[in-house]
Amino acid sequence: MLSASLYVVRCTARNRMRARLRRLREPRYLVGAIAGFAYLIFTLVLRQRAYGVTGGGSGGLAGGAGLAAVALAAVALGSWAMPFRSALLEFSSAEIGFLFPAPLTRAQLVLYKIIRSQTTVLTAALIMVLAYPIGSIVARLRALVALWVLLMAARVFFGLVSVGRRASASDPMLLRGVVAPALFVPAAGVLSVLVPALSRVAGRPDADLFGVVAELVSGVHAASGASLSAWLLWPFKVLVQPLFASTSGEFLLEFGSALALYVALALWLVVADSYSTDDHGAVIERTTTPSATVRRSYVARRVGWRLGAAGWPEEAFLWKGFLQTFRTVDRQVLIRAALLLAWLIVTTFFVTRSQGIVLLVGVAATWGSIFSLLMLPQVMRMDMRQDLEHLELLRTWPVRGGAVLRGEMLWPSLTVIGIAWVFGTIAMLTSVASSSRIPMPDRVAAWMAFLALAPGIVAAQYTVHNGIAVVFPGWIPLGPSRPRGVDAAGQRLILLLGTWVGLLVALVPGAIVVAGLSWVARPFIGSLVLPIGAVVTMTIVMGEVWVATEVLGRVYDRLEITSIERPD
Amino acid sequence: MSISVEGLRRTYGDLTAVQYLSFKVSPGEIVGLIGPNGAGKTTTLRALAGILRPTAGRVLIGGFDIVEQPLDARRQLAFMPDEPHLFEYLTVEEHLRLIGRLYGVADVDARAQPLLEELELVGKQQALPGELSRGMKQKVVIACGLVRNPPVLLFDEPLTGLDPIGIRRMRDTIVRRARNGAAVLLSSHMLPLVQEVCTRVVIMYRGRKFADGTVQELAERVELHQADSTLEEIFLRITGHDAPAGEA
Repeated sequence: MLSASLYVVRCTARNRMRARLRRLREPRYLVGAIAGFAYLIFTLVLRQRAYGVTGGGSGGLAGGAGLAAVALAAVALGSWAMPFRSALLEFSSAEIGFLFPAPLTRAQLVLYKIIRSQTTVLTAALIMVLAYPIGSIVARLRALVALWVLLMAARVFFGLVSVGRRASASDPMLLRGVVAPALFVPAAGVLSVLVPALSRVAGRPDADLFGVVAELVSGVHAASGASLSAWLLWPFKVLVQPLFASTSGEFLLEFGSALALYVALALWLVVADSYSTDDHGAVIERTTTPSATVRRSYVARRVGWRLGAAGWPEEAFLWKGFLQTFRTVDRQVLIRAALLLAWLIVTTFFVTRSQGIVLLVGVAATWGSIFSLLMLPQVMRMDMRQDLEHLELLRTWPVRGGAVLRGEMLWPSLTVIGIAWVFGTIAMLTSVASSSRIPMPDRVAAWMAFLALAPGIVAAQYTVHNGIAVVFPGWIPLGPSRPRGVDAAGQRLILLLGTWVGLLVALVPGAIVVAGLSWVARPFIGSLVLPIGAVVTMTIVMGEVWVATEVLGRVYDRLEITSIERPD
Repeated sequence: MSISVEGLRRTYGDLTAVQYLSFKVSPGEIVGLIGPNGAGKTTTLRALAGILRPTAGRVLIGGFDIVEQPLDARRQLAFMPDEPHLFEYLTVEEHLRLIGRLYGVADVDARAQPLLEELELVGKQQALPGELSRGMKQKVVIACGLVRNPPVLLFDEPLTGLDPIGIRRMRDTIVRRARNGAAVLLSSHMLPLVQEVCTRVVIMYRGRKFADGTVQELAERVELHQADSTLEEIFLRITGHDAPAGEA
C-alpha cells in the first residue's frame, strides 16, 4: 500500500507540474507567472529589508512558545465546533472507484490519505515560510520542516475530531472513549491558563478595555508556565517548539519529539477510525449522492417574489440572484462573514483603545463601509463570474449581451450598495459621539455624498469584473476549486490591480466635473457641493457603466464555451 | 426551410471538428444525426444553437442567420444538450418561469402543467435540481425547451439517463412535436430508436457528412437490399466498420 500511495503522490505531483509548465505556453498564464514571481520576489526583498533581518534563526520568538501552545490548544478545542468535516477521511470519486473495491483495509486507506496530503501541506508550509521574513536559508528550511509537521499534526487531529463528532449513540462506547481525550486535553489545557488569567483580570477592576485584554494576554502567558498547565499543554508545546528553536542542534531535538507526536496522532486516528461505523457505504453516499452534496448548499425556501411573465430581461437576472442569495445555506459563508466581522471589531478595538462603545462602533462602521465598497465586489461573485459555468445555457437565450451583463451585475451591486449604506449610516449616526472638529453639517454632507457615490463605485467595479469575465474568461476560476500556482496567483493580482485602475479611470471624468463645480459653487453653497458633486459623478459613472456594458455585451455575444476553463 | 446548414466548418486550433457540412431539415421532419464518437455531432448541434461560432459556412434557423440575427434565430429554437445544465438554486417551476420570461411566453403556467404531466414531473415542481436524478434533470431541460413550443428542436442524446418508460414517452413526445410542424434534429447513439422515429438520417464521420437520406435510400447505397436491414448494419457498412461473417 505504501508503494502504491507513493506512486500516486509521485505521479500526481509530476503531472501537475507538467500541466503547469505546459500552460505557460499560453500568454495569459505566462503573464500571470511573471506577475506572480515579480510580486513574490518584491515581497520577499521588501519584507526582508523592512524587518531588517540579517541572519540567524527565529530564536527571538522563543518566549512566545508558551502562548503559541495555548493558541494551538484553543484552535484544537475550537475545531470541535467547526461545521465542516476533515478532508482526510473523505474520498474522491476516483478513489472510491479504484481503492474501495481493492483488497485494502480501512487502516490502509486512512494511511494512504495521510500520505496523499503531504504535498498539499508541504506547499502550504512553503508559502508561509516564503511570506515570513526569516534571515538565513538554514533558518527557512528549519521553519519549513517545523511548519510541515505542525500542519500535518493539525490535519490528522482534525480527522480525529471528525471521527469523534460523527460518533453517535449507536457507535461503540469504546470509540467515544478513544476519541474523548482529543476533546478533554485541549479543553483542560485552555481552562488551566484561562481561569488564573481571568482571576488576575478580576483583580484590576479599574483597567479600561484595552488594559483588560493586555492583562488577559500576560495572565495567559504567565499561567502557561505553571506546572499543571505545562503538563496539560505539553503535547501542543511539543508541536510548536521546533518553530522557536534558535540553533540547528536544538531544532533536531525538538523536531524529533514533534515527529514522534505526529506519528502517535496518526496511529490514534487509525485506531479511532477502526471503531467508527462510518464505513465505505457512508463515505460513498456522502461523496456521490447528488441530493447529499447539493442540499447542503441550497434549500428551496419560499422568498415571496414570483417572476412576472413580462418585463425587462435584467429583472429576470435580478430575481435569479435574489433567489440564490436567500436560498444559500452554506454555513462556511456565514463563518467567513462572522470571522470578518470579528476581525473588524477586534482591529477597531485596538485602534480606538476603548474610547467608548459608540466610537468603537462608529470606527468599525466606517471601516466596514470602505471595505464593503472596495472589497465586497471581489468577494460577492454572483454575477457572470459564477454564471460562466452556465454559459452553454445562457448563450441559447434570446437576450442581448448588454442586457445579460447588466442583469448579472444588478443583484450583487444592490446587495453591496445596501451593506455599504448601512455601515455608512451607522458611522454617521455614531459620529455624534466623536470629538472630531468637523462641523455636523459637513459630516451630513459627506454622508449624503457617500450615499450618492456608492452606487457608482460599486457598479463600476462590477463592470470591470464582469468585463474581465467576458474578455478573459480563462482567468475566471469556475466551481469551488481555485487554480493554484504562481501563474494563477499572478493572474489574480493583475485582476485586482485592473479593477482598481478601472475604477479610477471611471471616476476621472466625474472628478474633473466636480472639481470645476466645487471651484465655482463652493463659495455660495458651502459643503452642499459634496452631495451635489457626488450625484453628478455618480450619474457620469452610471452612463459609463451603460456604455461599457453595451460594448462588453458585444464581446459576450461572441463568447464561446471553449474559451472558459473547467476546473480540474 | 426550418434548419438550413450550408458549408458549415468549425475548427478548434489545429483540429477540424466539422468540415463543409450541408443539410436541411423541413417542418415536420425528424432528422437523425448519427456518427461515432468524435464525428462532430455535438459541435454541429452547438453551432446550430448559437453556442459555438462557425469558422465558416452559414446556419439559418427559421430563416434567421444564427450569426447575423442571433436573437431572432434563438427564439425559433430549443436546444436540449446531453448534459443537463440547471441552476442549482431554482426549482423546476422557477426554471419554467425564467424561460417564460426570457422568451416572452405570457401563458407559461398554463403551458407548464400539461407538459409536466407529459414528462412525469408532476409533484416535482418545487424540487431543486440537487434533489432530482439525472433522468429527471434531463426531463426538466426538455420541459424548458418545449414549454415555448418552438418550431425548431435540437436534441443531443435526449434519452441519456431515462428509464425504459421515460424513453418511450420521450419518443412519443418528439414524434408528436414533429407532427405538429416542428423541425427536429436528433443526435443519438441509440440507432434502433433513430431508425424508428426519424424520417431521414445524416451520418457524420470525422467531421464530414458521409451520407444523407432515408434508411431505405442508405440501405440501397451500401447495397444492403434486404427489407429488414437495420440502421446499425447500414451505419457499420458506411463507416467501414462492418466485418465479413466469420471475422467478427
